[in-house]
Amino acid sequence: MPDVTIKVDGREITAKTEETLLPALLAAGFDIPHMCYNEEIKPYGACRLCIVEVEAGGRRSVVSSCSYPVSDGMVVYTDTERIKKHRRMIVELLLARCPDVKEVRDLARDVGLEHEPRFAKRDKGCILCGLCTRACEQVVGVSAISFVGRGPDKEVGTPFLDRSDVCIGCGSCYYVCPVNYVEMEDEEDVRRFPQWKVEFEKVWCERLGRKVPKKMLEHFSKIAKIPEGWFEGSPAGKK
Amino acid sequence: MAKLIPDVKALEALRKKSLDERKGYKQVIAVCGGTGCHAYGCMKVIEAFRAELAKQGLAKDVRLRTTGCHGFCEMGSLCIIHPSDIFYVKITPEDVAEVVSETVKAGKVIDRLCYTDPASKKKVVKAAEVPFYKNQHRLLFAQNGMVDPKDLDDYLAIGGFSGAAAALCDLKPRDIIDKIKASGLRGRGGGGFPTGRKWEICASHESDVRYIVCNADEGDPGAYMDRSILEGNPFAVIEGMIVGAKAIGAAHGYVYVRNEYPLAVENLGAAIVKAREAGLLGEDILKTGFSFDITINRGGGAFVCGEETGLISSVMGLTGEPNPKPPYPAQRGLWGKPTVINNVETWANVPMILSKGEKWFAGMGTANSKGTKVFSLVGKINNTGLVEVPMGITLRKIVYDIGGGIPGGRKFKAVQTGGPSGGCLPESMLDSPVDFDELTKMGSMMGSGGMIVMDDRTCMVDVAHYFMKFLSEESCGKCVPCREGVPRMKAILEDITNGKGSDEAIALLQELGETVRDASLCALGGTSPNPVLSTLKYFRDEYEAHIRDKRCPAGVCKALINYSVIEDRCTGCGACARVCPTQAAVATGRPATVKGKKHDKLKAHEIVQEKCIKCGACIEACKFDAIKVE
Repeated sequence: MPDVTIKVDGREITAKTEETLLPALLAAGFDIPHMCYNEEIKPYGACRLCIVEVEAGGRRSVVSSCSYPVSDGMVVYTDTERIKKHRRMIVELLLARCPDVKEVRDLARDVGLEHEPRFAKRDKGCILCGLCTRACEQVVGVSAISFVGRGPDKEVGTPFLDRSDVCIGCGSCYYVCPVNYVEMEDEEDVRRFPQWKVEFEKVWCERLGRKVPKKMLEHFSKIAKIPEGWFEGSPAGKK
Repeated sequence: MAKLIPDVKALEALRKKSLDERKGYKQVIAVCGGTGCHAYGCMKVIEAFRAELAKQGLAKDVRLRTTGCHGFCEMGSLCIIHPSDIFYVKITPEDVAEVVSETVKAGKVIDRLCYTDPASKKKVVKAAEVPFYKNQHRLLFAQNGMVDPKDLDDYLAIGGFSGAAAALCDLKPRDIIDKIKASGLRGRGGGGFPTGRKWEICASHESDVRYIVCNADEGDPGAYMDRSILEGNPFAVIEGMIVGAKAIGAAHGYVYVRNEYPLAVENLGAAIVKAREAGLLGEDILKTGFSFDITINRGGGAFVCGEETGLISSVMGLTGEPNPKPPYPAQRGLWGKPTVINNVETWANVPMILSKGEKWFAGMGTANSKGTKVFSLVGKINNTGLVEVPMGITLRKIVYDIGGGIPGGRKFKAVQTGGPSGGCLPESMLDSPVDFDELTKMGSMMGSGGMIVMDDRTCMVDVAHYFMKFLSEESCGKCVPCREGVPRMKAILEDITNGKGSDEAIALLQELGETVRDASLCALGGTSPNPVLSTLKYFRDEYEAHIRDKRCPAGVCKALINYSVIEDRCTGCGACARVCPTQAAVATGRPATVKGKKHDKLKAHEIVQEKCIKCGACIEACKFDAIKVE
């Protein structure tokens, strides 16, 4: 794919045509806050922290850079007063939702929010960025968790908030969560996800050199068409 | 079963036959069968007409036509008798025999059933003379009154499918797009994007498959113009979609319609079946080699599914949540394929542009907004209903000339245009022209065409709170500004209406509103602060009165008002005490005042504040204006 040139805050940078703005900006060293973006997962545009101004036809509009496609010659502003003001307000809203979440507090400091949120505090731990649900769907391919409810009452959960049958215990949701909301209890022989009401028996994996959930090895063997027992140390495996 | 129409020649032959058949009737009784009139029992009126016409031996000479909505919903059930144009309102089955024998047979006007103009208090006999109709410019709605929505021949008789025939036989896709572009048609669903340009983008996008979608997910409270078009004239929407499909090269279309619109689903479904049987949908339409069909997709009633990317997700069976644009649906829509989404009213305009010409269409309206727009005129207005007006008409004309002004002679305060996320415009804006750009400039929007009129008894802070409540309940919750911001605006407004607003509240609302407006993911979030920002702009004094003086000037916010009896007006009739649900209105020991004199036996009443729940029942019941709100 050919490269395109874009002008960011007066500086020219190059990007790949199939890319969206955010990865190009990050690669070029711009400091753009973001919480719902992960390069392995399709852009979602929900946290709105990565907003920038894009100039087109003499007008500047505010767009989420994670989802905005790059085009040759485009003009972008990442650090205008307008952007900074909106970012601070977005972080203030997040902080009012999750006042005790360290990552959100750090973010507030980073964007220059100097006061406590002016809204009544809630005590949520999840910012609803959807990284866990999307990783589960797009990367793992099981959709064990998803969003439940709508609007202000939305939350992440398993179907009917009951024990998830399809969860494989891989922990992608735990690893990808930007605010450490997803809980994973990883013991010697068992791995638990209290929020999803599931626990998994762990078995020895020769390839990883440690114990991992058995259901996860089975799932990956199946989708990658790997002979049974390969992970455990073929052919019989070390059970 | 409709007969197959093999080609254009046969279509024109059938049109001529339908016209001749209709000329065979001496009169037509067109009874409105829209949803509003259904509620008034129009189906019983229609049955009564059918029976009465048969009884009086008129079934062959007089055609009874059940039509779609005529728009004047305040006056249902209603009928128009053609060709005399005699217009009867609020008719019941009991009136029918008289209408048939007196008016249809003897040509006499029944005074009692005529419409009374509330302004002049005069009876109006003909539909064309009724101010509500006279001051409109009815194109789409005129058709509504002329066709039975389930009768394909009716639609052919008014020139139906001639636009589609031209598009399929005589025009290249490029020509159709050029015509629509030249007409200046802009999307009626809210965004106002130029329709021809949208089609052009879609057609120019390389793809093996393209789709057409009709957005009939009208979710605004109080708005029902798309519903009425779909119920009343579904063939026009189908024809528009055929034209659009030919223009962009689509073989399949979807109508996404709310499941709460059963009559629209029924009539559209029937029309699709008829069109398919007649060969106007399906394979090789009119032997032109072009194939196109339509599927109805019933929506579950989420407001956000009216947003085009949310709608696309919903059609594909995903959660109805919007996605960031670009890519626009015209580039990547249903199943990743280029998709044109237009709303019902836009599609219904397309056949007219094809048959009457783009110049004719562009001749109506303002520089950048062409044609007519249907508004659903509701609220504190005498003539509630659907009105179709040329773009550029002033708000004052809509409210006063067509709407007949404010009931009870009260004072106009504001009109909210564009649905729940539209702005509230004050009296000083009444002479502004109504078009896409002007409304946006004023801090409101065209939206899909909701228009809610408010009088001086409306508290604007309370109104803003009401809409923030609606929008926070309808937010999909995907992006932070809308999900977190709208409920915060609602909470701040709630505090203000409860007399607990802080001095910083106005500035915070402004700041928060601007972020939600600029930084939300979709247009639903982006427009949601309009009710707040527009009332802050035009009615700031009301906010200040609530916050600083702890006073609700309109006398609405319960925490800030008290009901009390003006003792020398109280006649001691006891009406207040009878309706008060909490026994807060009670008789005192003091004498009442009857005709200016103190009365020994009748006792003046008072309202016990501790018991009063401020429901307003007493004030409604009091005939002597003896109860005041402060």
